[in-house]
Amino acid sequence: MLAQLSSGVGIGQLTTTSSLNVVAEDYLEYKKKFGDLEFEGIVGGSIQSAQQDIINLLGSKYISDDLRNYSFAAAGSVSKPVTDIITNRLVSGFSRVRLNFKDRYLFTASIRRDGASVFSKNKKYGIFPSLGLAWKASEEPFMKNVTAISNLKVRATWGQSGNPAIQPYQSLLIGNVINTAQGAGSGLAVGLSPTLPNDNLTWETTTQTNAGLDFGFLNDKYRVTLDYYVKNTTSLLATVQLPPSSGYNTIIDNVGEVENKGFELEIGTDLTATKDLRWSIDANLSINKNKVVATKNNLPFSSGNSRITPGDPLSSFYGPKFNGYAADGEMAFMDVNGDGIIDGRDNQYIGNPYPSTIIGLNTSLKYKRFNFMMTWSSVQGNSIDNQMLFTAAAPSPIFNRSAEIYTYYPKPRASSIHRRSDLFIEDGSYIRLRNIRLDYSLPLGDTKFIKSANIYLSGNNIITITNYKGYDPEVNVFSGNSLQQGVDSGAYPGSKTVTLGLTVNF
Amino acid sequence: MKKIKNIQLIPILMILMMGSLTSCEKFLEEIPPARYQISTLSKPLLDAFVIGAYEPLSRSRGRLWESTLTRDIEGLAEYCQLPAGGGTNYMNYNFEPQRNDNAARWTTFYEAIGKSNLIIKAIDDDKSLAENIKAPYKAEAYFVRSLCYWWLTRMHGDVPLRLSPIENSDGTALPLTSSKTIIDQIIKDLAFCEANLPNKVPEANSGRATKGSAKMMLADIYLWSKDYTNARLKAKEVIDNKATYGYDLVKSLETLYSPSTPTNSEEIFAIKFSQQKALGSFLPTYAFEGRALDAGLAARGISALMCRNAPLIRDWDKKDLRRNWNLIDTITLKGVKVRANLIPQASFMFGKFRDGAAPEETAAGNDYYLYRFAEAYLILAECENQLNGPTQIAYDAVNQVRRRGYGVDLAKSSTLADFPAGLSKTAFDDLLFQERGYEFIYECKRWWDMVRTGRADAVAKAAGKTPTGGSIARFTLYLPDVELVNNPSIK
Repeated sequence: MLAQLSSGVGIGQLTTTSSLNVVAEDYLEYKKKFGDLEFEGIVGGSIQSAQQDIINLLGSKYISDDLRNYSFAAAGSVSKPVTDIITNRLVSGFSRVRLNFKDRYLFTASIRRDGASVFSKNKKYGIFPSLGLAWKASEEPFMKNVTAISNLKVRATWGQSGNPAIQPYQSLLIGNVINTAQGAGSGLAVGLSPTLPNDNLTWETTTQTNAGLDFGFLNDKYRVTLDYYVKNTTSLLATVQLPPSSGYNTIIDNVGEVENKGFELEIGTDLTATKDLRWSIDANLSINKNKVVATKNNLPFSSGNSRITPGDPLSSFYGPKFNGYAADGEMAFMDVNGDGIIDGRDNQYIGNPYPSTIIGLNTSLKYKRFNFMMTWSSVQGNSIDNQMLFTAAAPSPIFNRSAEIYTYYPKPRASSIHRRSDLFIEDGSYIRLRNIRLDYSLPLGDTKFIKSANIYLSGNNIITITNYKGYDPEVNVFSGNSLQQGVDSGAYPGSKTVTLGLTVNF
Repeated sequence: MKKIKNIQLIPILMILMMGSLTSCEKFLEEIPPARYQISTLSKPLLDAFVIGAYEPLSRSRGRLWESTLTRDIEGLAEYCQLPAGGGTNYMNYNFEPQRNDNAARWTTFYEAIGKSNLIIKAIDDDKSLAENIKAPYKAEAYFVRSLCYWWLTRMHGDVPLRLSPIENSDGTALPLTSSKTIIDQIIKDLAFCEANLPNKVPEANSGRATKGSAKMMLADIYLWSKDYTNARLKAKEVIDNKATYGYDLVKSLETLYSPSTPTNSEEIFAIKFSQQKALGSFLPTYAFEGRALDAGLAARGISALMCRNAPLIRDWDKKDLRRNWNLIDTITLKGVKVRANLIPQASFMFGKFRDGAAPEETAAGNDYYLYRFAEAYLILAECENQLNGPTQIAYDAVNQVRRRGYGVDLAKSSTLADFPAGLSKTAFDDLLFQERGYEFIYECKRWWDMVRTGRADAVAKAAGKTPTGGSIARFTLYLPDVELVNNPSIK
């Protein structure tokens, strides 16, 4: 029997996407030893082709909802199927040379030329060289006597790499097919909607210079790795907002230059390493500073509340700054241009979505059959745009709101103006016990059948120390070329889990 | 492993590799299989681009007349009640809290303008097509652009006036242009439209601009500018050419507001909707309460705007068929009449647009009239009265619309329907203002009538609205931040 609906209602929708990716890579390797010098050369090339075929079907006016989207023949009316084919191609030629002299002096040089279909005509290719030098000082004869130093390596690299991760067809003047009821009697008319082609779209190039030191002390009981880097990204690719009065909404463009520099330090030690007791601790610290060096025509570019402005960190949050409460209990904001109205022109820098410091700590303690492990991580110095709280704390309508509303509006009124100000930009710093785990491996005696058996109790995200008011300070951010980073629109939080497990290997 | 003896092999291979890369130019050329790449202009291509320029006007969730533009402009009418919260601020003319709600429609309007500019430029640049082929298309592009600027400048006052397409993302900044300059530009462009648009379009093309559409928009603009001579002239041209243009009043309101007929003789320019998902109107869903589907009125009901018992509504003659069509306070569920659930302060739901057969909420088929033949009569009557007093011409014009509203013979005088004889100029004008209210309720005309006749504040207060600060202080909406932030030329 059919489920009864009012006659001819309901909608069925089906989207089918099939992808075909072909990658062909060939290279020739040449290795030869000339006395103390080892030579290795590689030359090769690759081509990649990706194609996506999309079919979208929509039917309505079903006599019942039993068939759902399995049968479009059952629909009383079927919309035009929408189909699209998207292709994306890459081609690369590369070569690399490695020289190793006496296992002490290492030299690497490479060059690659990449071509990507997504860029504008005559701007499809990029050439990306790299150089690397390393000196294993600890292998020098004069170091052989310094037994305390078990490893000492000094490294320096310089290299460029390219990013072609944008949607295809952005540089072509395309007429997108659109359907409209306008000019179509009772049916649909087929029209074309021209795109705004970007004739200058090219590779985003990152030049990274890195100097590093690997240090091992007392037979690698203490290990230290230190790196300093300067990373300069030019022709940064981003989807940016245009003034709507231009006739277009957004464009993908090479908008500017960004510099990242910082340190990365890793320290590790095996405190004890006997047969029954092993205890090791590993810690890492990275400190990064990022700054927009320049933008196209020296103008700021925005997307939502995030902006690229010369001198600011990348994707900084912009908005009005809270300036206390007025006599009537309403929020006041800083009127930057002094025109008596608070609008977008009064927006200021109110936060940086990128952390300044990231710290990680692992420890593993093994005693006989017990093994105890912990992983801590911490991110400091970043801001989060808590959009979920912003929405939940809106004074209007005055029902179904978060209790937090009183934090912002001592007297919530429907006429209060709700602005996405710095009050909703929160400190995203946190310390988190990412994992804690205790293992016990069962004594098996002489059993041949079972190779090993292990009981464990493990917990993920058990402790999080943060002032952030949202669900989870590790917010899922917009991806791709979006400028919007550190925006929390209520993404599903990482879960706190406790697992009791048994692992048996046969 | 066998050693490669000849070291010369490497450079040879490298040369081969580089050689093969140059032949990769073709491999990397983008040829989208499912999309048109635009090269030279042809008539079919031009036609498709012009359809593309109209498209934003009726786009589902483009936030124009299909949904929030209608809600917001009707929301300012004295008879309109919006739900509590932001709606209360807005309907009482406090525009600041909701200042960014218009961002989407600002973008949609300018998208249509951008597409029109592109067509105008492409036609001007083209040397291959004959002028007589290009002129009507150019006129359509001018019409779409004029329509958008006409609405933008009435809503916002001074706005950026862009008359040629941008070519890349540089130099997109543009300062504001005064409303007066914008209106002068529209009048100039519409003169070209009057000369070059067709008298009528085949039914299969309904929704595209005609000579009558251009003349009506001109009449509307002149009326707004209190240029009664020119407004009267344009309205009269439309009426005098009714046979040529194929215009007439439609007898039945059900036919006039039907969700399924392609067009009718009263349509001069309408935003066209189709009973398909994302290609239709939201308005029935906006107008009705939650049980709209079961009541056969809409695919869904969200009570986005309703009707207050303003004097206009309270005094509406029960014998006027338009009253019964437009004001709904009961619904029929399984054959039983029940009272409708109304939002606080509302007395009725707007019944004008009903589509019980719409497959879903964005798919109501009722077209939205921007200009219909009834308005030509009402503009003629108003201008005639302003210029010469309540002459027979003024009475005849308004009575056509009255008689249709009461469902009586259009050709015979009717004591029931006709305006009472012997009215003073002022009394005639007051009654005409009321008549426009009845005829165009839920058609985005009332607020502009309130503003242009200087009645806004008094009428709103008489209807129990409470303008913030005591009286209506601001008649234009704010520019959305997305424009202010990204257009450095607006200081």
